[in-house]
Amino acid sequence: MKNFITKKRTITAASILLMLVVWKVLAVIIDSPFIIPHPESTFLAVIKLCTQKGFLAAAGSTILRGLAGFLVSAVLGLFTGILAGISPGFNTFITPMLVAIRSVPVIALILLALIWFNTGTVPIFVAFLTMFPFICTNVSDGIKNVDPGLIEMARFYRVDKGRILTGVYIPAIMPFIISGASSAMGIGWRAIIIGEVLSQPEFGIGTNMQTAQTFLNVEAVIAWTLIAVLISFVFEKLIRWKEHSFTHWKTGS
Amino acid sequence: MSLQINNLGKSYNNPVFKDFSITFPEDAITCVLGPSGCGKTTLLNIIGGIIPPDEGSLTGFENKTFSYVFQEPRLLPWKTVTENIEFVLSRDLHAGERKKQAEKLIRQVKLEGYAGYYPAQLSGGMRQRVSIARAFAIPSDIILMDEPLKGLDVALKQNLIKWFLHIWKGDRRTVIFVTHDVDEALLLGDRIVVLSQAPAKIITQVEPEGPAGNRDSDSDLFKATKEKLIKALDK
Repeated sequence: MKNFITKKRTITAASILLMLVVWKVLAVIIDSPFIIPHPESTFLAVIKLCTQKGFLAAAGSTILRGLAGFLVSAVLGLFTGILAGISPGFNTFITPMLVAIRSVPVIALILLALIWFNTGTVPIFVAFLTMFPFICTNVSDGIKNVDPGLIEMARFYRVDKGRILTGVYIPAIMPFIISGASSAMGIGWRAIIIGEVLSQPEFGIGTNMQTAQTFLNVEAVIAWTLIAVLISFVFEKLIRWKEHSFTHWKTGS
Repeated sequence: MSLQINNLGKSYNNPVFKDFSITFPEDAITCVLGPSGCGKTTLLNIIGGIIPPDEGSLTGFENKTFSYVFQEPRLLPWKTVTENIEFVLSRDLHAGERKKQAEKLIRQVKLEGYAGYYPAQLSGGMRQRVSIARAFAIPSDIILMDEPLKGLDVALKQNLIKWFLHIWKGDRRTVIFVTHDVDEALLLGDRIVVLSQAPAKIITQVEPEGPAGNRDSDSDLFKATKEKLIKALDK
């Protein structure tokens, strides 16, 4: 197992290294910082950005929007997902809505949201509509996968409904919730930043990207992108980090 | 008062029970022995109220409470041994009392060292022991058992029967145990009822000599009764 983890890390490192090498080679060949800046100068730009006044406001606003969108999606997704999983009728009722939300291009949602909401709310609304279907579908799939034998056992022993929900359904769907939350978060950050680029709220990573792009500051565009990737990575890790505490019973460790 | 089922009728695609009547003595272990697919599980599910009968009546079962030892242990994989037993205990009991009750049962099935283990960390036999402990943890009047020893090896079966009788002798509840295994029925049952293929009829009823748990499977009497039951099953 330890060998496998070491090997996995080496392969991951090799993959990242290859991307950096390709980037560097392209930067050398093209030789124009206005098209592709060098990786090292971009990393310096990231550090510069992080120490700049206004960085915390921009990154913090984006993170807060992400968390707000995620929280609303998680609460509503969990609620509707459980209902859809338990009731086939409700599942049939909600499926066309989920399909509709999923099928609408994100850009169309943003254009409409720009008309309906103020600039700070647009990214949250868009994030909600991209994250909610993921969480809802995963939760309802999880509920459908709960072993009916366990439910029958609990009902037979006259365990009340509340405890069947918290003692049987919720733990059984936890792996589904985590994988749904993880996919939703990954897509959610992208939606939020697109939303910010187009709606231009006062603070936000997307706002700064758009400004940098206007001044052809490619280095800053990529630097903000790297920061967005880092935020997404950190939240993904946070979700997965909690995963073990919900699924340790599989291995008992 | 005995527990009776009168003129039971139940069909799925084909009739499983048709005008079927049976009596279960209270405070004793009745083994219902029958071939696979003869409707044994259906009978237990009707008694336990999981499925309704199409026809017929059940008397003496009103206001009775049940425990069920299923064919698979049906333990919650995310709960430890103690938590699995506590899960079915009434919330009227304080948390401390629930824990005490669970620990008592765990001691009785000799799983003291495993109280904090998850089902995935236990062997098949140990899991079924937890399932038996759970059935005894609640103050039920009747324990329904659906081939809980199926698929376990002979030594393990005998061990589980020993544990089961050990706890059962503590409060002598009414047990209805269905199986297709003649040896299990002979080792456990105060009374053995042999059923035919569906639609089930009672072929014969036997009350083995001596108390369950003290029967010698090498004795001539045991072997003769076994022969008789096998013959009845073959009919």
